[in-house]
Amino acid sequence: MDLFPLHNSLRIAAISSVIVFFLSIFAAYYIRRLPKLLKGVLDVVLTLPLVLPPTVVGYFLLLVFGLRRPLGVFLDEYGIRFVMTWYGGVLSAAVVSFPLMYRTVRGAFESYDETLSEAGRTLGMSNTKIFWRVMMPYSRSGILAGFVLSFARALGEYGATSMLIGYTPGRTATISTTVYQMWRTNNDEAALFYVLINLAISTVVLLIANLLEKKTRRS
Amino acid sequence: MKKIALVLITLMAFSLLFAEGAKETATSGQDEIIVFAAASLTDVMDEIITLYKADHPDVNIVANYDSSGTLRTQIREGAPCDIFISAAQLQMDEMEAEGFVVEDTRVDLLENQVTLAVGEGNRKGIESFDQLAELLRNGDVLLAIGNSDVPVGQYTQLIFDYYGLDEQELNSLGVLTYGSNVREVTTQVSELSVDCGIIYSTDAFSAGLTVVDAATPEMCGQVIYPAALINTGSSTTSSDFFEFIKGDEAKAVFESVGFARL
Amino acid sequence: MNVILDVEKSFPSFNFSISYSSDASLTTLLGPSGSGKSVFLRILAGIIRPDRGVVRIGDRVLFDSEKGIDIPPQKRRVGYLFQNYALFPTMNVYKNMTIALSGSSKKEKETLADKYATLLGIKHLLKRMPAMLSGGEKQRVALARLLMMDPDIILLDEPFSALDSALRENLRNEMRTLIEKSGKTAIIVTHDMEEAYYMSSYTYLLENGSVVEHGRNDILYFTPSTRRGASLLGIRNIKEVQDGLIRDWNIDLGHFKHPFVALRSDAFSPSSGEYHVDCRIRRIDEGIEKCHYVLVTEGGSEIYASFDRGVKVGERIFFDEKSLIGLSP
Repeated sequence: MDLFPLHNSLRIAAISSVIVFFLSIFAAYYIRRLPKLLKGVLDVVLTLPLVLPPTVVGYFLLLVFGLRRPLGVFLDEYGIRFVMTWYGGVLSAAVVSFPLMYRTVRGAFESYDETLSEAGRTLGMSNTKIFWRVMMPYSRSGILAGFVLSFARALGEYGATSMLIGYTPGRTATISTTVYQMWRTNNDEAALFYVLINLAISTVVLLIANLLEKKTRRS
Repeated sequence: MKKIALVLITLMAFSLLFAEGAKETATSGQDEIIVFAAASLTDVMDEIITLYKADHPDVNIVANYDSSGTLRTQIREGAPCDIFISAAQLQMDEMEAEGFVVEDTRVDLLENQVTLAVGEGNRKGIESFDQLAELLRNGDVLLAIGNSDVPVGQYTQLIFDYYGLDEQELNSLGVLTYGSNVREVTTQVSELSVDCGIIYSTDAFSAGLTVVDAATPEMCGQVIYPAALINTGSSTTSSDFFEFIKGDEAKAVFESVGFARL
Repeated sequence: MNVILDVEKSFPSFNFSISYSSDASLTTLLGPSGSGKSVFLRILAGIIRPDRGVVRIGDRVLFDSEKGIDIPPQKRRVGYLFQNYALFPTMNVYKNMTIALSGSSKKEKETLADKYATLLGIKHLLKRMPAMLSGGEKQRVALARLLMMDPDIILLDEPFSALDSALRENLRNEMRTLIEKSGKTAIIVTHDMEEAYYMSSYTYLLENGSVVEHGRNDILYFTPSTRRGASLLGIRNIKEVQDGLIRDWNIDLGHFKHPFVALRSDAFSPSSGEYHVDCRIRRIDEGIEKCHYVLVTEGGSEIYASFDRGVKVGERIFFDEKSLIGLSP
């Protein structure tokens, strides 16, 4: 059995989750300081990919990065192509899973007690040190929950991914697009194989998440 | 709390309104002819239906376009259908074997050509199937084809056999990308997402794509579109429309987009 | 150490304008909530930036709007004890104390932490998490934490308001001893008069973002010099004097220079004194040690007097000249 879809889905989900991790923390940290109106508008815009159907998201991505669009053509000159490549899958997974982590982290940061940062400053701690050693650990469980959600969403992404990167065995095939194609071509044996693999991975991910959650709760 | 309840109820009421609208099309009370046709017939069948309705305004015709494999599955699952036009004999054979075809109504309606099409600019400089075979062997191209459930995909497999290409090997080289119906493949070619695609000449024509080579009957046989009356539908006037499809007026329309009428 | 704060800042709800200068080792800012006491501390610590003014500790200028100086809190060497203690919840006590130390070796950190943990009596708590500490323990940890950084001054924001009253007296005692032992200058902010009087030697009275009065405790609390000051200190008998007469009470004070006079509730005697007022009892509020009387003269003017329990109060109460507090408007 071809194991490429498994390896591809995992690397897409992993890379996408790491990107989303840093982007959403960055966004949540700076957005919470903004005036109310701007904060609200940004919250809506950044949550849109969660609410839109994945195929709509996929359509927009093609509209922006398609090889007949100005941006797509420009990037292609430098050898960067999101259409029909596995890293295009990272883009679609990241766009779709970003809101999940962003909202969770926003919530965690909103409930953060600002006097902790003030205390840190009077003690001589730099803002960066306060962020990583006080604020982040404080929001640990929220951030972890957000990360797990976005990883799971990235792993299972189908709609936008299928539209942007298609189904190229050995190059862009993911578990979800492979299962669909196997089903369409009446290849039930293969379809079942990938379904079971996906179940196994998801179970492992959830088990790890549970373990980590228990650890943070204990401390 | 009351406010939340009010908003929820309003939302539900709205969704019911739209649901009502969706039901409209099925319950008009008129005689309704349901046509299942292969995806490659989309625009041309729409034109033929319009022509027919001009003279028969009281007839309602509903067309469902998808890959022949999907349509076959839908009929098998009990979807109502009066007329089925498939892009390959295989699916019609299956329908006949399973008893869905109305006796003695099956005919070979159209002939199409399997072609190699490229997008604007032909950036890989593709000129023929022969050259394509070489590029595929060297892993030096990205070709879009239909999957094995799609007739044009099945023809593509025959072409691969002709050139002695092993699909599994090609998969591991990462040179093939699959679409679920021929429209998807066509879009990928025209969007320049791939270097080239194997589609019908009619699809290339309607999408304005350049055809660089056509497959000979040697490579993949003849591409015959069979048509037949199906017995899961409930229309009483479908045979009249079926005759129209087989007639001269329709023939002109089919030929105008590149089909050959048999 | 001399502390000077001469700043202004306008907020949506009130204007903050304070001119403060003190070199007492323990100074209190006393005032009701909303008077700007916390704002004062925050400006001093550099957490809030004033619109204009000067902030100086010793001979270091921390803020000067005209010269464009604004030292960030990290560099001000101000130890701030927050009202909610602000202990970092995800670290144990030892980590809380040492986290802000940078560039010290592990040994150095351990030695320093040991010193202050011993001083504050929290050595047995070093491995505990903040959530497992009582209010008093948290306070000591917070104090130890800031002392580790060797600040120039210590700021305490309502240090006892979150604690049980039963513990308060002991804790106040401990806190004062600790601060004196550390030898550091401290400014305490509170709304509790007793606390203010006990903890410090000098007090600033604050109301609505401005200083009402300030002075040495042994003078201020007993003889304030302004009406607002007297009122903030809880003195309820404040009367207008015209030509030496307290008209409402029908008393002639002779040569009395001030336009207003105040009398503390505990300045009255039920039996003898140089002056007297005829009145009847309107209400008695019984306390545990004292009874608080609301008396009223024939003219309807109220007098607030406190007597020990068991004292018999008749239709006349007395007070002496020395109890009179002269006030300016």
